[in-house]
This record gives sequence, structure tokens and C-alpha cells, in this order.
Amino acid sequence: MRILNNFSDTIAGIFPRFDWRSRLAHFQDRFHDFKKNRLAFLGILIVISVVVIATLAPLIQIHDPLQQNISSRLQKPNIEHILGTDHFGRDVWARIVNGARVALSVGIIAVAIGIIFGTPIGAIAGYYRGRVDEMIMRAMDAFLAIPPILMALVIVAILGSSLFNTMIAIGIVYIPRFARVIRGSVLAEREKEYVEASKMVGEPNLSILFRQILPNSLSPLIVQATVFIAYAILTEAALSFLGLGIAPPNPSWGSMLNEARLFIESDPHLAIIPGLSISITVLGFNLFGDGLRDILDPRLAER
Amino acid sequence: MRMIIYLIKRLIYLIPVIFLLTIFVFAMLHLLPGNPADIILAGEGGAEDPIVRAALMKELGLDKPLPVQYGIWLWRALHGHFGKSIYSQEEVFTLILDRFPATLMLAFSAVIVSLLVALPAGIISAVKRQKPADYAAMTFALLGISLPEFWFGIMLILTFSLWLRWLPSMGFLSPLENFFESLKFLILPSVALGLRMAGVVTRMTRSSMLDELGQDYVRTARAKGLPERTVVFLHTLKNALIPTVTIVGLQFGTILGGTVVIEMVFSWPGVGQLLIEAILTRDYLVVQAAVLFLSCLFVLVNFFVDFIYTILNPRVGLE
Repeated sequence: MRILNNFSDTIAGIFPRFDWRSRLAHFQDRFHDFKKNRLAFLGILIVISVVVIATLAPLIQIHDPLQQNISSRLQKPNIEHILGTDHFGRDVWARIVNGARVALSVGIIAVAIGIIFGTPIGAIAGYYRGRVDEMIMRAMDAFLAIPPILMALVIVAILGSSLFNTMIAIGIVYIPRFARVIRGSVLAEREKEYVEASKMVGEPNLSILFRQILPNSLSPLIVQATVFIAYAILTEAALSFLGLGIAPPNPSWGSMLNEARLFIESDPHLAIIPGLSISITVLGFNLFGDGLRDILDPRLAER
Repeated sequence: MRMIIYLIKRLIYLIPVIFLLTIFVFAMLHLLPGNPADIILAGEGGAEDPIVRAALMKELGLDKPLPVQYGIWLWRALHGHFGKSIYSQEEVFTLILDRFPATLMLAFSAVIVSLLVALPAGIISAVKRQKPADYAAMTFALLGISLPEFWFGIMLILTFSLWLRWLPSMGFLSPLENFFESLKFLILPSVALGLRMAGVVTRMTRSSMLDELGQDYVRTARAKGLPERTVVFLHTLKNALIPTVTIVGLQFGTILGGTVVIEMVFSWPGVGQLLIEAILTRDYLVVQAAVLFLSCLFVLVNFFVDFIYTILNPRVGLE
């Protein structure tokens, strides 16, 4: 209890007007509702499972995902190879499990890049308004005019196919999108009284922006982040499917789908399994995001 | 009159956006590590003769500073000259124009198919809230936004082309040649492409319908004894469609991106397929022009959506 008090006092010192104590109580109330909402619970279950599988990939893969073995190619699921083998004799389970790693890491890092670079842009545009806002938003609009997959495609084509470049490409796609979200929140928050109060006390603008407005803008950001992780996973899969994201032989659910196309009639499981993996993972994140939206934005919750 | 002024304002706003767009597209591609001259020389098995390389660069205009290159490219583009494909030596503009109708056809039928499913689903879902129809529609919507379109496309091929043999798995037939046959080729790719938009629009429609149905004027109408159907379809629908229309416009961008992948899955001869081939062969002029065309299409569609929005929501011009 005493440690908690010290901690909370420290936090209160840094974020003076972020009423996190009542926020926490509020959150605990809502978590109760959240648990009741079984779909959201399923979502969180899926997300945790995928995270666990991805983290433990090297331990649970059993076979080497890159190990080719032509003599055992195109096996249906059996005891030795739980999900069968692909056309090079590589174990499908091992590739799926490592594909989870790829998908999650791309999703999380791309979103992180979007948040890190998009937040200051959106915050400044939303807070200072005027010419600065207009110029920034016009640039963002131009960025947003290019369909997301196309932009990621071209960036990866320029930088070269690799895990890192895919993360960067999708991250860049997200920067204007997060900027928009943050700008929206900042626009709403800056009209509130605590901002005016801080100004009157003489608090510098940047301080108001970063220490007060932003923490109160977290809710839509977190919800949007979950949804974007889902979309990033889909985009990475699409890029790898086209041969431009994660290049073979490295495992990626998307490239596995691409390779499976040749054998679709004889070995449909090669196409069905990676696709199901993508679908379930994305579904999990979407359900999780829905649940988060229900907690954090209670006025929408009564649907 | 107010509306016209608003639309003209929006049109004027478009110009700097498109201008910035051209700068972005140009900049993106000219950060290419591979010099186009090197690519051409490599293709012709040319030795690494610096004189030949310099001459080629001069011919392609690559020796000039970047902003000058941009200016030249833009000027020529405005006249319809986007250069020649490095790969096939054809005019880029012609290449894209040839394939544009196929992509447009695919994109718009995807939108139509998707709306045909999503709008009724969203409305029924809202009207029969918490009943089985609602849950079914919501499940469908959730699947729509979670399933990868290209995988869904492959599964459709598996089911309808390979197992049932009802529909062809790839290729294209112009509707001008044989309308009904061409539909057979169009159905599977359109459904695959429209899946995501269907999911998003279903959710959006349901949510905005629920918003409208909770409004006071609805209670008034019901109290007046108006039949339920009139209440629902006359005013709530029109109002509920307003935010939905905006979403449809935004989702069109995702559809344009999706055409790239779906065209590859179904061997549909559109701009998307051209784009992928151009990227793989590093045919940068084609890539530049294709991305620009698709993005401009997106901008135009959004402008059109704005137009529809002002009709549906007459309050807009008042700002």
C-alpha cells in the first residue's frame, strides 16, 4: 500500500491534471463489463494465444521451418508433421508458428512507428491550428490519397524485401492515419476548461499538450492501435503474398499462401491453414479492439 | 447556390492535394536504389562502360537535379506523356489506359456487390437488434473485416471453380463481347474484393441506423401511429446513410489497393496486375504513373462522395 502511494504520488507529480486515480476505478468497473462480454474475451484469448505461440516459436516448432526435405514433400497432416509438409518438404507447423512471429512483430512495430511519428504531427496540428494545421493536414491528405497497400508496396519495392523494411513501409503508411486520430482528440480536448485553467496559470503550451491533453486522448488511440495492428497483419500478408514483403524461404503466412496456390487442387490444406491463421489472428485483434472500444467509450457500449 | 460554392471550394482544395500527391509519388520512386540506366544496361547485357552509361542517363534525363526531373516529368504528364515502359517500350499512358477499364469494372462491381449485401444486412441488423438476424449479420461483418481478401478469393476459386466447376477461376471477358459470359468471370473477383467493404459498411449502417432509431423524431412518428415500415425507410434510412456514404468513399481506397492483389489471384488484366509486373521488373515509369492514376481515381471518388453527402445532408454548406 505504501509503495503504491509513493508511486501514485510520483505519477501525480508528473501528470498533474490527469486524474488517473478515478480513471483506474472507472477502468476496474468497466473491466467487469468487459469480462461479461464474451466476444471480447474470446478476442483477448486469441491475442494472448498468438502472442504466446509467437514468442515460444523456436521452442515449439519441433522441426526447422527452413529445412527442406524433398523426400517427404507434400505430406498430409500426420504424426510426425502435425500439419503436413509443403512442396519442399518443410514442416507446415514450424512455418506457421514462425509466421506468427513475423505477423505479430510487423503488426506491433508498424503501429509503434505510426504512433511515434504520427502523434507529434497530429498533436501540433490539432493544438496550434491555423496555417500550421492547414499545411500539415493538406500534406496528410495527399499521403492518405494513396491507397495503403499501394504505398506499402512501393516503399517495400524501393527498400527491398525484408522483415525490417516491411515494418517500416507499413509504419510509414500509418503515420498520417495516427496523426489524424490524435489531431481529432486534441481538437476536442483543447476546448476543455482544464486547458484554459493551465494557460491562465502560465503553463507553457508544449507542457499542456504533452502532460495533460495527450494522456486524456489515450482511449481512441488505443482502440485505433488495436485495429491497426489487425490491418497491419493483413497488409503484411498481402505484401508477402505478392512476393514483396517477406521473401521466401523465410516463413510468412502470406508467402505460404502464395506458394500453396500451385498445389491448391491436390493439397488444399497448404492454402487453408495459413489463411485460417491470418483470419483467426486478425479476428482476435478486431474482437479485442471492439471490446476495448466498449470499455473506453461507454456511451457506445449499450449496443 | 450555397452547395455549389461549397463544392467549388472542395474542388479548389483538391488542387494542392493532387500537386502534393505528384511530389510524393515522384519522390517515393526516385529514392530507388537501382539507377534506371543500370537496369536497362543490365537487361541488354551491356558492359559497364561508363561512357555508355552516362549517355543513357543523359538521354533519360537522369543527370539533371531531382527537382528539375520532377518538373519535366510533371509537365510531360500534364500533356499525357508518361514516358515509355523500360520493359516493353510501349507508351506508359497507353499501357495504363488499356487496362484501366478492367480495373474500373472490377472495383465498381465490388462496390455494388458489397453494398447490395451490406446495406440490407446493416438495416435488418439494426431493426432486429439482439435477435438471431442481428447476430448473423454481425458475425458476417466481423468475418468480412478479418478474412484476408486474397485468401477468400482463393477459397472461392477452390469451391466454385475447382470443386463445383460452376465458374471460371481466372481470366477476363469484356462485357461488350458477351455480357452474360463476362459476368461469370466478374463474380468471384468482385465478391472477394468487396468482402472487406461489406463488413465495414454493415457495421457502420447498423450503428448509424441504431443512432437514428433512438432519436426523438422517430418516437414522435411512432406515437403518431405511422406504420413501422414508413418510419424506418423514409427518414431514418436517409439520415443513417449519411455517415455510411463517407465510409464507402474511404473504403474505396482499400478496394483500389485490393484490386492489385485480387487481379493477381484471378489473373484479371487490370492496372493492378500491370503495377505488380512493373515493380518486379523495376519499370519505374509505369509504377509512377499507375500509382498516380489509382490515387487520383481515389481522390475523384471521394470528391464525388462529398457531392452526394451534400445532397443527403443539406446542412453541410452552412459552415
